[in-house]
Amino acid sequence: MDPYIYKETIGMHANRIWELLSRKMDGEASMDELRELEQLLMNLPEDAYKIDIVTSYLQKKPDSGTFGEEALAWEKHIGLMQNLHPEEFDDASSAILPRRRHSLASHFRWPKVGFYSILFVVIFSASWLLYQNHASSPLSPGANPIQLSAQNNLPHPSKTKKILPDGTQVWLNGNSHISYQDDFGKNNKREVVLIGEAFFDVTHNAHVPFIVHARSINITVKGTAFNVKAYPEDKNVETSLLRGVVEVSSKADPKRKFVLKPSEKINISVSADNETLPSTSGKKTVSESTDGNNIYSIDKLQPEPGSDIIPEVAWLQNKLMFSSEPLSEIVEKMQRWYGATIEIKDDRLKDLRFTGAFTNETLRQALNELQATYPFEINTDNNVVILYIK
Amino acid sequence: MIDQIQLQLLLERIAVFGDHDAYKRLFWAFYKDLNRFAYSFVKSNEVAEEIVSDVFVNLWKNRMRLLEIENLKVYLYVAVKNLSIRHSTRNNRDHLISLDDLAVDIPSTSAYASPEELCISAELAAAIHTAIQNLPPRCKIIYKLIREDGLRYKEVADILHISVKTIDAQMTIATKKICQSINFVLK
Repeated sequence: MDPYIYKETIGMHANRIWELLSRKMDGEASMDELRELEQLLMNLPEDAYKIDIVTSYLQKKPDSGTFGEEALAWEKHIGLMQNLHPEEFDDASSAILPRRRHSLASHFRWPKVGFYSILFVVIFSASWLLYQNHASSPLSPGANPIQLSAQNNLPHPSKTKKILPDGTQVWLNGNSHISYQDDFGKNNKREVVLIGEAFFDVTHNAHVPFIVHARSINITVKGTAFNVKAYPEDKNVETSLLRGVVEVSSKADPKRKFVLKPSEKINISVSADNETLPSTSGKKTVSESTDGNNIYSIDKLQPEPGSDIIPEVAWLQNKLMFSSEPLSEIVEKMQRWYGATIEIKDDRLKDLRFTGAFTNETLRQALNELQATYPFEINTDNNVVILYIK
Repeated sequence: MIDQIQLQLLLERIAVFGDHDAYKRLFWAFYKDLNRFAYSFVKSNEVAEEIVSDVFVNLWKNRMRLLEIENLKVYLYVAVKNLSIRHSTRNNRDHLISLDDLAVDIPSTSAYASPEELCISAELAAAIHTAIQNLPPRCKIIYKLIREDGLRYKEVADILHISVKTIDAQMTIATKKICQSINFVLK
């Protein structure tokens, strides 16, 4: 076994490769470093293949499918706690309760009594320039807008945590901004403009409403957990309510308010045009209706079969999830997720539907998994990934 | 691996409501990793188990102040480390614990995806594992905390009181050794 043989094939970049590879595997690499690594490995196809095998093996986290060890340790521990704090742990049932899945959804089920914060999620976007130049900008001009952004140089959108002046906590997803005026919290107003995707943990204050401006849609928080998806390239603004009450209205027709019940989502169509157009009346209240320029539909939220995860909020758990969605929409999601540019060259591919979820996969692994379902071709050209059919 | 937001929610439930269910989930989520971490210091399963249990006793006792903790993961690992070192030095005051003396336990091959799933040979999987097992102790504890427990470089730096640069260098060594170990098995 002579390690030098290997060193020679990899050449003088060997150490740099190991360094970059480690950072990549541990999610510590920057975008530039990932590109550099790809470049280095491109010249060493044989080594790249071996490295691929080892990393794919090591990336699989050890799966602790059985919890025998935890169960045993917990029984012992709870016995100790009952001795130490008999008044608090007298009820042995706490030790016997079946283990519930760790899921975001289940956290929202507990009693509302004593809630000191409100949790909700907003995904919103519009072009930043549009907001800045727009006459009907939701925030009055003059005051200085304060803008908080997420780092977006990471392979996966990072959930950067920011704290607003009122103590509200915000987790920003990749490529996302939130802004507010410096009079935030004064004049009985808490208003934010959000571009991209975020999770809010709002400090409760019944006297000062919290309003999120999302493109042409306003969301008024009334003690609630909800998700809004409104990327600029999307045709709809989707609001999914997990718990509590949320009031959704369109800027075009502010008097028309939709009050959602828990586990419901509302989809309102928006286009760049009708954001400025006043709504004409003519309302129908069925599950899918036209309301002036806005077409809307109300649906039930469904967790993925066999899990507690609701696809609409899967991003909070670092999951990219899609359920029978056309490839064109999945590609949109993957572009945001991986910060990559992906093009579909063949229209036949666009309507192919896939169901699945990605967690730790690299862009290439994710594409390969899709490829396994339907054999399309992948080509990388100048950092643009192209999907096509031979 | 438990998500940062879920962790924060559990923490709030314990701190604000004294929620037993959240307490239990936290215990379940961290028990195995913390137990292995303690073991690498004290080299006894029994003692490691007691140490983790003690850390959770203290966590409950001080739950009112939990929200002051910046990073719960780091807090738990540091608490386990401190108790482990205290235990090891109880009988021998001058005995200093070095990262080079740790006995790090890495799960066996069966804990990973089966080789068949990835279309690699069992020999290859075994070679990778031998390479991991043979990493020097300092490298191995860092490798374990990052690759197995899923901690960030910065978090491990805070736990072990070493620099992120050292971690970067040690992970580079680990990756290099592991990749090189299979060079001669693969055709």
